[in-house]
Amino acid sequence: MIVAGLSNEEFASTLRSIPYPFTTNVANTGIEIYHGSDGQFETRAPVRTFTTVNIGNQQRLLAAYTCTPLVDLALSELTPGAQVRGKTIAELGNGNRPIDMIVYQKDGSNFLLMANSSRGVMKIGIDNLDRTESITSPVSDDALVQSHENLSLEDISTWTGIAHLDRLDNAHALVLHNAGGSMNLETRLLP
Amino acid sequence: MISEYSRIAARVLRAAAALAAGGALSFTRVDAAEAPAGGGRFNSTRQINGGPPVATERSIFWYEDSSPGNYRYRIEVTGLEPDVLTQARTGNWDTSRWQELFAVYTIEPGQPRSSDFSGRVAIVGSYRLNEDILVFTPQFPLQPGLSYVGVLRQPGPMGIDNRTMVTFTAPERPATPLARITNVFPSTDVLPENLLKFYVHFSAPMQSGDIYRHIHLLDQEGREIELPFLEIGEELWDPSMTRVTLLLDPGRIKRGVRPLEEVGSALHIGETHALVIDRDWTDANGRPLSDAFRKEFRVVEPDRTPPDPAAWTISAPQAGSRTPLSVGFDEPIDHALVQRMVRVTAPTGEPVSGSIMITREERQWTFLPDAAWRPGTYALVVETVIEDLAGNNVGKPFDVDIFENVQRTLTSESVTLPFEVR
Repeated sequence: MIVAGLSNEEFASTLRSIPYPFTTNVANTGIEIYHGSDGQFETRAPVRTFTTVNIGNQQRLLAAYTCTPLVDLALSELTPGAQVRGKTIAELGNGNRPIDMIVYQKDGSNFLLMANSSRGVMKIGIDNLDRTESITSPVSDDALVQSHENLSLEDISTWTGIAHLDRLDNAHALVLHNAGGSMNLETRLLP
Repeated sequence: MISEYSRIAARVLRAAAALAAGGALSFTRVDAAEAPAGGGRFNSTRQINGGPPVATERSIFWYEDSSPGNYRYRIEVTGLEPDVLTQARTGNWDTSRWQELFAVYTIEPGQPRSSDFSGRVAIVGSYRLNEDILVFTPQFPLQPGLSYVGVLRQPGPMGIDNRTMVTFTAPERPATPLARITNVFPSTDVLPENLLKFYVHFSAPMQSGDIYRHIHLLDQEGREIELPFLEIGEELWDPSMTRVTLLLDPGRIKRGVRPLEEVGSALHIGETHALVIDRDWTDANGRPLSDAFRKEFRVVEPDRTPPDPAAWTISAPQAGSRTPLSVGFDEPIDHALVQRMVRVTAPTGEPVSGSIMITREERQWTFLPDAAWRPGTYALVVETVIEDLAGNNVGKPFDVDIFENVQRTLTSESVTLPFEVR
């Protein structure tokens, strides 16, 4: 079981990996994930939301940080007490906070669907995840949101006001939709 | 006349039962008791396990929890029929079966009082038997000022359904002064550009939800700085709802991440800023603060130096005294973390109990031991995850260049600073 959280006191946020089934003796299994590219400064920022996906026969963790990088790493690297480095595969934009994310398959491809506080819903093609390195430099100065060139990035502009997002089944998402003041629980076809 | 006598007798017995059953708990009051329809048992008492007399008449008592003011109550029902008791003991009843016997309903303000409870939803809670007394504990606190009715239904003579009802009004909350902001930490008015947190303390529990619209960070010209805080839907409250943590957006603090490069730091070096909190932030009772709040501070160069316990000054107390131990920090330390991440151990290695005071704008930690110091080597133990105002940990700056300094494992978790007591 993987646990991430945000404290009201310590900023440093460790991801915890707890073996399941639970045993009586759970050691401190904190994992520090550093992320970023050459020459960048990093810290143990809090993970806002995360999910796992199987790409290339490898179980991977996708974690979205409060300071906006979307980070990928292999789950096999997450051993108790380790400090591991993730790859920044996308930047989600200033002033934006990731809310929820889900992974799904459509037409034989793997996608990550992500709800954000101010950048709407993004769909990222993640088939090449295991063959993608960290983003090294911004594509251009005015690209507020970017993903690695190996990974497609698409704004789902028709999905507005999504307050929460989860997967219902292979073809549908369940969303909490803020429709002008009233909150609706809706199912939607995955884009 | 006889019935009137019975009522008075019943009240006396109820009071006696309340005292007997209540123990240390305070008996509150029974607002109105409707005499059981179809007659009841009014004046028989008997001994239970040699204890005090308990009325076997039907009665419903409301007891306030031992800590008054939290609106936690329990309701005790006496006078259950022997058949009912037997069934309840052996029947493995679920909630709906218990509710058939005894249920508590709210009385909606302004609605005519009705004794028809069909279709009404009873309040949830747990049921148990204490000897012959049914104890119902509502799952949630009662609502101040709201009336409730407890209804006991059990079959009476000749199968006639027999009801006992007692209403109770939870007292209004006593009028208290309006909540105010008692403290904002850090208390210093000189803050680094990469400041990470504010803690806002209130004099009374506050309401959560949508807090960020009450909080403003202003620049030198009084203009509002856009999105300076990490706005978290859940909000970072303490359990008592009297402290909220505001995290400055780490994306605008950390070097090498996009937000900082795009819009820059929220705080500007050399300028005077103000943290402003509106009066219309409401407390747990929905009332506004007594006053708006403003903290002005000057912004200085970013702090990228971890706190260094080796540079802390420890003034060792004298053996045999209860003189406070005083520790001076090399820089202000996070107000919340310093209270639980610095401790004293005795020469035996055992923790020393005492009380802590934080002074000099979080630059000084003072410890008053519960017992006198003894001669020997004590130690100050500091957890390395303690933070300064910019989130630097001991031995680890807030942001590090990972390619210069990646350790593969998490290393030491605390630093020990020995001191001699003579």
